[in-house]
Amino acid sequence: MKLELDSGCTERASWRVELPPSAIDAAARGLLAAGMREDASPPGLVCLVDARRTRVLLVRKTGRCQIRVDVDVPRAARRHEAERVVALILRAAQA
Amino acid sequence: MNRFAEHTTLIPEHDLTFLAGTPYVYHCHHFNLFHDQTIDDVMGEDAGFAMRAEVAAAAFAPLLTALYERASARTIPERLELAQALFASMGQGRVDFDLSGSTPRATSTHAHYGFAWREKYGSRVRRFDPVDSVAAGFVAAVFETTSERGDRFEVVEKECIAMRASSCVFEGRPATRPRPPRLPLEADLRPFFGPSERGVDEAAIAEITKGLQGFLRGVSGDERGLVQAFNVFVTQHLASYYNETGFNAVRHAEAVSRPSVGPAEDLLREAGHVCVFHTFGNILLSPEWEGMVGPLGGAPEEIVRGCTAIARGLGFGRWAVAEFEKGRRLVLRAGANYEAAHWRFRHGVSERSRSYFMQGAALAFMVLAHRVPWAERPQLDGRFYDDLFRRSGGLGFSIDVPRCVTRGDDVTEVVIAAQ
Repeated sequence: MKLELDSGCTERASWRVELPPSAIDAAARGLLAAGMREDASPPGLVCLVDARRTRVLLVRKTGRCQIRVDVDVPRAARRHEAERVVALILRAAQA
Repeated sequence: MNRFAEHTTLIPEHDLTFLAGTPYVYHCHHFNLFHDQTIDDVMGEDAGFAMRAEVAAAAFAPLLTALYERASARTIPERLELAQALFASMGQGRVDFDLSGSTPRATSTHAHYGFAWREKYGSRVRRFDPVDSVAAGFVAAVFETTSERGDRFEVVEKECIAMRASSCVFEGRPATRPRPPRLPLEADLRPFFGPSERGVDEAAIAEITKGLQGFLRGVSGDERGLVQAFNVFVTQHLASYYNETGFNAVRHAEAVSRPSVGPAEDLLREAGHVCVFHTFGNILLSPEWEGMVGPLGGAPEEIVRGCTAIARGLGFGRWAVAEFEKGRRLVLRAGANYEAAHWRFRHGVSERSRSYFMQGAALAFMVLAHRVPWAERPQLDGRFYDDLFRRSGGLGFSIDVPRCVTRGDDVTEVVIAAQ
């Protein structure tokens, strides 16, 4: 699973990994178990947020997973924060 | 859940949105900063800031009064709480008020413009002037509508996070300038709405629009008063603010410096490019869009369809694709857009089109539809913007406006043609 910079309106805040679509529900369950909470989201999407305000957006149909790091995280630390959350996603998806 | 959603209304046949009768739209921080910079470029920084703050106060005061009435907020603490919640809900930043001293004050650690300016430019540019005229105007409106005698205030931003302060600090003083003209509410605008337009791909556009409108209705600022949705840093904003400040800037140029009128109008059109490139483009690339609509293929027809739905979803009006010929021609038509009715209410019939934003946005639709490699998932950053919109040799498309509501026609029609 490769972490890549995703499109976004703020610099280095949006990152993405691709999951198999079949792993989305497991990833969401794992992230909830790890302390994230579900946030409002449009149809077709699962949106989770943690205490650091990092968001994970999971697209059910395609398996796209966006990690949206909060803008209060300094720019230089945003990738590191995304990597921390990706590790959680990986564990959750594999559980 | 958005606490103020129950006070929002939609005119479905025109895709125009209102909060307690006050027209509103959604715009992102790139557009907001560009719009305000345009005003300053035309009028100068001090005059620009003062005018923008005054207009913001004039736009927010009736909205606050209407919401106080609806919520039966009669005491000062009740009104301050409601005002604070409103501004934060709109993604404009949480503001804390202090009315205990002889000088009323307010502070904000995440005022939208200051915070967004610092995020966008702060690592590269040192700023020496405050940027939060909207928050200053809002604070002035709060001071006025919580004053027992209804005193009017002018608010200065003493410190600003865009200038590397830890928070924005606002101070009120008695107003010395005359009260600005009343800004239009829903009932004032309705007489200037033309027919509801339908166009190419209507069913698909209407379906996407419905999804966007439903989602945005629930979007609300977090505890800092920030909204991050659809990959963008978004604000729910009062349309009268954009309209009145933009038109004031052009009219200022018309009054004092005729040679600067053309450049001022060009900048207001370019604000449409900025909005479509950053906001529309990032929405199209967002996971929210992928979940709601599906993955983006990037065909020109798909981009025009998506952009038209986004314009409607953000409250810009029932823009319809009257014609689209790939690579050659786009005709957008609207019986009501958020600019035109405002101009008619305030200034009557114009000798030329004043739908500047719609003109610039329509041209940007064509640029995004034909010159962005969507399948490569591009970063829509400043460098790419310059490559697309500021390249030497021009943009390759012309703008014509054969009909416009601001000129007295029943619809606004913008024709973009390949040159």
